[in-house]
Amino acid sequence: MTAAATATPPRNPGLRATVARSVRVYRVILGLAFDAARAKAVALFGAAALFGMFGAVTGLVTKLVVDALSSGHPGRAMGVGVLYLVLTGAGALLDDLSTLLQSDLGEQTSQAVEQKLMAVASAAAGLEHLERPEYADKVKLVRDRSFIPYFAFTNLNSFSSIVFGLAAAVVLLGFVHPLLILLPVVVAPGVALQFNAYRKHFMRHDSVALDERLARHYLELATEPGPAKEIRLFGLGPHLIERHRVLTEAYNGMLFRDQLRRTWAGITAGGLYGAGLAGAIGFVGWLALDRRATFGDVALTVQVARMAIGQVQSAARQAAWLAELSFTGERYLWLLDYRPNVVAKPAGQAVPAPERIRTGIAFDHVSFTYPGTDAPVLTDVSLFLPAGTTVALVGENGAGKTSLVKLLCRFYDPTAGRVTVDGVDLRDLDLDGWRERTGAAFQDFVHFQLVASEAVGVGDLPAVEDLERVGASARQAGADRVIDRLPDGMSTQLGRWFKDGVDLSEGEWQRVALARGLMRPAPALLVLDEPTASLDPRAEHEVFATFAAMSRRDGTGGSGSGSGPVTILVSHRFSTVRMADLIVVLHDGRIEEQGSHDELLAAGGRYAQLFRMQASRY
Amino acid sequence: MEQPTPRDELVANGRGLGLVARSSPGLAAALLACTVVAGGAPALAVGATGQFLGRLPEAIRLGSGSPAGHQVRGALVLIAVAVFVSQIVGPIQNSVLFGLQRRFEAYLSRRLMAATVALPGLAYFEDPEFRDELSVAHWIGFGPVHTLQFVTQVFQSGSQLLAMAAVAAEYAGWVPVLVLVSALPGGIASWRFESITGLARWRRSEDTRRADYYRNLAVMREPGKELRVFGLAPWARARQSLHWLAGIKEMLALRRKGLLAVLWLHALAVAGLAAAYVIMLRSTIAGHTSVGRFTAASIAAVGLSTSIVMLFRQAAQARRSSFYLPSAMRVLDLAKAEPRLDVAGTRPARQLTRTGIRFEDVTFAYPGTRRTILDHLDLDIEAGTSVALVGENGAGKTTLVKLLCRFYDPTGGRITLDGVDIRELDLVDLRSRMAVIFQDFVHYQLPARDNVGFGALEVADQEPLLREAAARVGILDQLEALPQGWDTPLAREFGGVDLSGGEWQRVALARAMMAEVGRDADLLVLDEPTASLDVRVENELYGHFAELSRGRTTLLVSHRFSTVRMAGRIVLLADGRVVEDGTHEELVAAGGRYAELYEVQASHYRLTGSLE
Repeated sequence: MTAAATATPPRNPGLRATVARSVRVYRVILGLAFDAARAKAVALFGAAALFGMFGAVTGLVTKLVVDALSSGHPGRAMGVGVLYLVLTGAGALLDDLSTLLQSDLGEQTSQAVEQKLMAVASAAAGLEHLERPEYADKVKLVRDRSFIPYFAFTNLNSFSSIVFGLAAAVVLLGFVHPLLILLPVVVAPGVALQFNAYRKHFMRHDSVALDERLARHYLELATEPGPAKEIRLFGLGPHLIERHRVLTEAYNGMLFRDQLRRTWAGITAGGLYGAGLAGAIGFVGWLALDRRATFGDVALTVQVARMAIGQVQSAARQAAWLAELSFTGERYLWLLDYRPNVVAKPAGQAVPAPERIRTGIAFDHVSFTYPGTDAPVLTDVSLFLPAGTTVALVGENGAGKTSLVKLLCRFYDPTAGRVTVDGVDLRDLDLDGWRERTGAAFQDFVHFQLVASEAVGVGDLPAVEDLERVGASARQAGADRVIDRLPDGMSTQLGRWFKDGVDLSEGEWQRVALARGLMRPAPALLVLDEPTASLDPRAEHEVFATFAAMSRRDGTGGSGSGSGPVTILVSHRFSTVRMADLIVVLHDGRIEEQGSHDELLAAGGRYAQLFRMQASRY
Repeated sequence: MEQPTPRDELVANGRGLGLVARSSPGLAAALLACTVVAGGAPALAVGATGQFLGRLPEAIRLGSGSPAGHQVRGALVLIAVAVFVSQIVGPIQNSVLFGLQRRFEAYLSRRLMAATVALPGLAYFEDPEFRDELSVAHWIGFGPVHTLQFVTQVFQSGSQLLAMAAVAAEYAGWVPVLVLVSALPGGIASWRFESITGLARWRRSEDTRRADYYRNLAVMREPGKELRVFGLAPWARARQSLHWLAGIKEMLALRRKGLLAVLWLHALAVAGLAAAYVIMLRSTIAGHTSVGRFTAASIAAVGLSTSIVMLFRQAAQARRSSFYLPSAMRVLDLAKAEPRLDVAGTRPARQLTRTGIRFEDVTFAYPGTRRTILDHLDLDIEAGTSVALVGENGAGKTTLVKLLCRFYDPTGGRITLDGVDIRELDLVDLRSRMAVIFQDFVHYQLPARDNVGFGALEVADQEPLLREAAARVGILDQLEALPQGWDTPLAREFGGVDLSGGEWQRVALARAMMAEVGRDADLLVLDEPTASLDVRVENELYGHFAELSRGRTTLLVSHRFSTVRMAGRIVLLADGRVVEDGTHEELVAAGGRYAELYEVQASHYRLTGSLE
């Protein structure tokens, strides 16, 4: 479909490719942990190797004490005994310190994941990735498991513990009797069994993701403030609860039955481990009774064999964890590898964005189809938006108005044709610079849960603390009256997400969004995508009077005669539309007619028809 | 949020475990059974190993046929049994725990849903404290199952500990006592340390939530456009980082301070252990004790000392996963404790003689605020007529609708339906008479069938009714043309399609119509029903309006005067009162505020001069 599809691994890759990819997944997520806190990570890694051998060493020391006692060397026994105690004390100390370091590292790593996610998601210049459900899915998954890189790190540490521990154990057991070297080999099939069971478990888990999201939606519908009115009015509560029950019981039941089936693998593996351990102790006990082993050997075997079995078991768990790690890691990698289809040119190669538009913005045979869909939303659109004018986009729902705006802001690139600013292809323009020259208020504006001055000021970040400019924008959009009514004025926390937040009505939020859209000091492009749907008539009138004045502020006014900002206005209200210098009527993704209000009315086409329809009711 | 008292915690934990048991009694019982069986096994292994090591030197000396040899063989069998039991019960226990966790999580979600939808009004949603508790309650996931899991671990470690103490006591009773007494302070300190840092993690929630908010700004779809146009990404990242740091600072400091105390006390534990060990070793060297006994007792003593610290750590983890519980319990109790809306009314609303709606001297301010929204408002709406409410933003139009739906009760005055105070009416019955579209209607991410059918659940399976409701607002053809027709989810994330704003609005209108056709709702309330509609659709709706509202008492709220004129009578609200009331022509003729507002909008249409 798009380049992103190639980032997903093919269905049946060769073993080598699978291994190479797993190694990459592991390396990338481990990299997050090491980058988050390198010194702590290295210290913990070293400690893990020491810990691994700790059991074997104490086992050996125990044996030495016992053998010294048995063979009548009291001095040596006491000396080795003291060594044993020192080791025990050092082990306890090391354990406490690693606990501390681990907690720190865990948090720092999660935070590194959050930051990385933000960087990845916001680095893409376009919107296509965010509007793809698969992308949202993966972001959510990685976000919910931001602890995974830390787990990958502990996983790595466990492996190092296991390797060192098992090596030490095998050497010691080999000295007791060469046959004991085989102990880890005997129980190895158990590892394979358990690993497989775990892996299947995680795969099955992935298959219920959609149902889980639906259950989450039911929960939100029932408990969140937004839907509360309808839920009560239509009496939907009990019904939603019942649906939640049926849904969750179905998928939980399925997952549980699956899990139960896999219990056998665990039990079989457990049986093997048990047989290995009991067999080893019994075998050495028998050797001792036969005087082919010392009592010290037995004491050593009891401790070391148990530890070795524990290590093997832990190896199975950790290997299975690898499956879970690679499950999340794959998604993380998918996000990292995602090739957005809008790519900003590097600042060096890009044409600097114009300070002000000289001639205008042109659509040159532009067609556009949303990625992953078949139906074109814009077909062969050619259009010139002269500098210094206000252009209204008119059309019925779904005519392509919002898509056209999205191309102008370069959230998407056209499928065919090009958009040019003063003759320069938008794709060649310095994108950051272009956006710094863009002010916008969208239909689905953000309800920023910030303090009022910031909710306006983020429209031009460098001026976010410039209360004078924030105030001026607020006045222009009529948001000053909203803010004046707030308990702490400009410093009032807006929205109900945070402490002491004051929620606004939809119309009030809209004024804040408008004020934000007006923050850019010298915009080249001003986009107003249905910004007044929730405003009352008086407010709407004021707002548009302001805009009409603004778009003429820098230019010489009139129809495209000067240089200055292009103001794009999307609206269903003809009272608003008719104020524009140029009106463009879209229908089914094509331009049907364009001209001034009077021209279009005289032409008697769709515009005239729609205008009269609305006017007839006044 | 306040920090819960230990008593609160204990009570909440008890209830949490009760919920676990209720969520899945069979699995909870199975988990307990596994715990008892698996809990005994490690203890048995420790005891048998002690016996084995203790008797082995004698068995070696006297030969395997001696009584000591028999004991050694017996101990070996016991070791094997213990090892097999714990290896086999372990996987079963894990599976049971998995099932229990998932079921409990779903069960708790349902209980939270039930507790929330049982609140008849909306006052709680205005209450930040409630919202905090609700969101905290969402976090607990399977917390109580973790608690249960840790309790079972504590049980297993505890029984193992006793077995070790018994083996050590074979040497002398004072050995386990000395080891225990010296390890106890360290254990308690560990417990406190873990609890305190856990509590700090819980308390930073405000900063954590802010950090999450900034994170979401950068990674979610909805803010994507503004984030890019305004170049907010680096700012959002910086903010996220700031709040994360603020949230974690206190905990980092606590952790370092706590650890120092723990280190000293662990040194004490090691000292106690060392004393016991050296005394035992000397007595063995002196020949007072056999090598076997010494070996068994010393291994047990070391195990005992480390196990105590482990035990307390596990107990602390059990406590950490229960900090959220008191919040969840308060949410579960809300409807029972204080619904904030009196729902004692039982009069059936359906059998009344339809006379209409009256607002009598109604005054209202939102709970917890001082601003009066409605101020001694009087309004009389005769049954079967339609009234449009107009007024500037904040005049109280939507509030009036909310009071009529009885999401809140007036602070003063009363609202009557057919002559009866709506507080006396059965609430479900009252609401079943209403067909409403709210300004901020819900976008259900569910199939089209549900999006329309939710207007009258009891008949939502009757397709002719769905079709009629959709046809009335002109969305039928679009819905039936969807890829899976009525079963198409209206959300791309669920494998369906996304609708445009105007299409959503008509779906929401169809839902209100469903209440009309499906449950014969006779009170039609339309709050800004045309805000996202294009001219043609609005015009169609205008054409249908007479039919939609025939025989219904209709309340229409809108800014669009073209929409307002659908109603026969117009009421202008300002500052929480009715200031003008009459037909469009009357109000225009009166030359008051309505005429002025109307003029502002209408002038755009009239000034053309080129209308026929």
